[in-house]
Amino acid sequence: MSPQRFKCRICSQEIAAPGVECPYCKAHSAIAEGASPRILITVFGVMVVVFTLTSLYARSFKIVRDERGKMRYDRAMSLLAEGKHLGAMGEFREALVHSRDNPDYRLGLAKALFEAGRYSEAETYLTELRGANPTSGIVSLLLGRMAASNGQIDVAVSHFRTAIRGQWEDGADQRRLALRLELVELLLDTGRRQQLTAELLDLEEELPADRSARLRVASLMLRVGLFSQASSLFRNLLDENPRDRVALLGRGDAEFELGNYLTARTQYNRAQALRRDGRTQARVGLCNRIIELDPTRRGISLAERFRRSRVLVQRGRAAVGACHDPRASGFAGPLPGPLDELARTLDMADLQLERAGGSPSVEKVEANTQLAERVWALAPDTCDDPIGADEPLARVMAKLAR
Amino acid sequence: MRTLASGLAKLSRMGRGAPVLDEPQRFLLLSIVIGIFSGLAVVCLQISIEFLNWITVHTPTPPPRYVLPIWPAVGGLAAYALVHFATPAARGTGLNYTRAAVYASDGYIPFRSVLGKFASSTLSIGTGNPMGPEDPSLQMGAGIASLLGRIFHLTRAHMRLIAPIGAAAGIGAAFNTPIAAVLFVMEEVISGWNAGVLGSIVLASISAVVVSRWFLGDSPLYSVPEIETGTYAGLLAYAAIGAVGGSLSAVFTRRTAQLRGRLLKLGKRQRFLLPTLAGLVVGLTGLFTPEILGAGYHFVDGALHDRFLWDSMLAMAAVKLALTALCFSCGTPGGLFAPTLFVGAMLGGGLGGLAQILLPASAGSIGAYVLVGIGAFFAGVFRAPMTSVFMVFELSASYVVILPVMIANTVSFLMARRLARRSVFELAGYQDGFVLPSVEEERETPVMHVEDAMRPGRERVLADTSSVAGGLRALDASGERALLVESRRGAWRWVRGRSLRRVAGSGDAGANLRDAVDLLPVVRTYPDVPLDQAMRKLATYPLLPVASRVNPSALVGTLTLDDVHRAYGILAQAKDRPADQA
Repeated sequence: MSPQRFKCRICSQEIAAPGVECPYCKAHSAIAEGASPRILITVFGVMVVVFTLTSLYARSFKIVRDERGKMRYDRAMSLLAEGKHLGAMGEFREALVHSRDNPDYRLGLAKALFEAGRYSEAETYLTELRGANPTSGIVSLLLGRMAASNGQIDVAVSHFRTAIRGQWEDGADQRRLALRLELVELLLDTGRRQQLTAELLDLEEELPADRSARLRVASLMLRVGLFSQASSLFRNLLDENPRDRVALLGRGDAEFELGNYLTARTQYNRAQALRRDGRTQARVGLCNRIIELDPTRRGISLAERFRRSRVLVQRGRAAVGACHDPRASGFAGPLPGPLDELARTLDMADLQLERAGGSPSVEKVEANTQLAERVWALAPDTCDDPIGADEPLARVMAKLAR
Repeated sequence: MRTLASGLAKLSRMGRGAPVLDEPQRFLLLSIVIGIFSGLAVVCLQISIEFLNWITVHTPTPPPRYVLPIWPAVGGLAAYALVHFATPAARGTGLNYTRAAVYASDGYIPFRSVLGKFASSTLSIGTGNPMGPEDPSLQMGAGIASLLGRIFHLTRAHMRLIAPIGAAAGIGAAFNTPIAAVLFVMEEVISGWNAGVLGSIVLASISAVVVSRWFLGDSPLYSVPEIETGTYAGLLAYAAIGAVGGSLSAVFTRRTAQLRGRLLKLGKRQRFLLPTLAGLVVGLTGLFTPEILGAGYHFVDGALHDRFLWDSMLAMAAVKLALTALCFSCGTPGGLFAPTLFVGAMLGGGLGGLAQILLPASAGSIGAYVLVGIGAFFAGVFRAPMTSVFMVFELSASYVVILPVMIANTVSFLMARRLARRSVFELAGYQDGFVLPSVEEERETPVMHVEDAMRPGRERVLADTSSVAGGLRALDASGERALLVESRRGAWRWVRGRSLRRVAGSGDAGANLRDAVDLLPVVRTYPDVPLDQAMRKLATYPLLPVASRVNPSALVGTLTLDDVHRAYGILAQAKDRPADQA
């Protein structure tokens, strides 16, 4: 066993025994070098005791803190639900004082700030939350809505897409669908037709079972101009419930836009049978007038076809001539290019109409139809609103052009 | 096997009650123990402050309006009374007491001051007084370290270093910033880079932070949102924040010291009432601006998240600054760290908001300005530029803002130093009767090196092939008592004048030095070595060869004690002195 050494506490020189005068610095505070194992063990024992007591203290603190935070959070959520955004903001802030890192509290505060229109502050919390959890659907959704409110549509679309792919705690499918529909509405409102069409076509492939959602998708397709897809969706809906008036009207509109006026009229009539309204009645009337004018309709005689082709020329001539007739304006000299063509085409139509006699033939029907198409083709250059002037004619001519 | 045997031997010695660790080992182990105890104490302090805060100011349902002004006043009175009657050692700033322990009391800090700081700070800050728990944490850490040092029977040299170790642990645990704590103690407490204690300070700081994180969570003090610093033109705004922060910190320092000096002249009974009156003013102000109550961490968090308008942030900074100066001067227990961070944050945020209006194209986000403001004002008040940079980095866990923080902090530090020579702590120290060395003086006192004193060239050097007579002539010419002798191989030795004379007297004046005289070994030194180190060698050797660092066999000069005296001006003074005094 090595002998115990002693050092002067003041000058650190070795001394003979504790308590004796240091021969170097003459101090009397010389003590035994180092701590004995007993001291070490005592200190570690005290440390364990203090650690345990602190643990208990900290645990009780956390319990109270979490309770208080939760109480504030619940209060804030109910205020938010009541639309009291400012009050909710205050309570969320208090909840965060108690539990600063709680993501639910932060999200709640961000929602309240967003609802209260304090976008810049809300954005700081949302970007922070996104940094912590980049796949959170609700965070991306709020960021998307905020960007949309600020007019940053491309950013908003990007956030919406992230939200659609993101994580949702409950009812993920329903939320994703609602979000896609919200995105479609946003694209529709901001006139982003290409993106909108792509989004709706995507939606068509992943259609949900929910009937109201399918109805909404079909209506949106109709608004965007995806008529055949809309018609198909409405047809499916009508297969399930033939007395769905909204679907009947939707399908009627879709078929009407596709030029299937007979089918459209049938749908409108069924809808009218369920409940009458002025708009549908007008639509039925329009369908009737178009059907009566259409020379290509199946099941009519050659004479009727010929008559209708003449009516097309006549009404086309009248519609275009009413807008601008170069001869009627009394201009004497040689006409410039486009006007010259218009004048010659109208002359040709007049000539054709003068030749009233003769038996109807397929060739004559064809010639009349072609002439009517030539006359109508000039309408956009001469008339401000050629369709408004004679909508049945415009619809038939559009169908012929197809 | 050998390790096992040594372990068994130690166990056997433990059983017999003999010491098992030597002093350096004990010191390192003690650093960890200090860190753990300090961390635990700081955790308890913070929890106690929160608990009291929930009972008084931060109640679940808003208290009646007349109650709010009462709490800070009651807290101030109770805290002051406790310090006055029970623990007078807990009075004043922890930083000064810790420095006093280093310089004046051999590391002794009474343990009662730890208990006193704990209780008084809890009472003061928990009732809404606008002070922070970091300075009390620093003193508590130092006090715990001092107690443990005494228990572990450390020598005086180590006892003097033990208080800064505890201080680092306390501040690290309070801020959750281990690096900034180490730097702060190096910059502010021991005023230099003491390699001997650095390892212990780091160990203590880390162990305290680990304990603090264990109980209070590991997230930084502030949660910083995504921030942008703006364009390079926007850096001017950061420099402006630095300039304003530095100027404001100087104003704060001077006015606080003035007010504190006047209030200290009041009678005991009047001084007893001061914290109560200060608390009442705080409470009344808190009715209108509740943000100024307490440490205010979560309002800084709000500022980082763009919660406030720029003008209200500037107003909050001004109010908090005034109330902090008032409470500090009145002796309300608590520290200046948290209020400094609050004022800096609001100042930076307010000026940043203004920059966003004036320079919309090049401005950064508000969060960046808030962080820069924190760093700049801290650098100005505490005169710790390095700490301020790393503290912002650690408080925010964000590196993005480091360049603007460095610019602003440097500007602020220089501005504050120009406008107010001494920091508020130094001035408070003088008022409390401490004549501690100024941190900045210590930091900036130039250290003399060998190159400042040495005589360049080979004037005092002889070749070992020279004759004894030649050596004597050189000796007489130089007026020295010894000369350096260089061998052909580039080795140096020295020779005494009296040895040369003795040999010459015996008739060997023509002989070679190498053969005729006892050449004595000598150690070399280098031009960059501090004179203090060289002088220790001059106690043994009358002259030293100064060698080149890149070619140690090449001599660049020689150094004698006279050279050192001349460099310090001692010889010149002696010559100027009248003969009778000399």
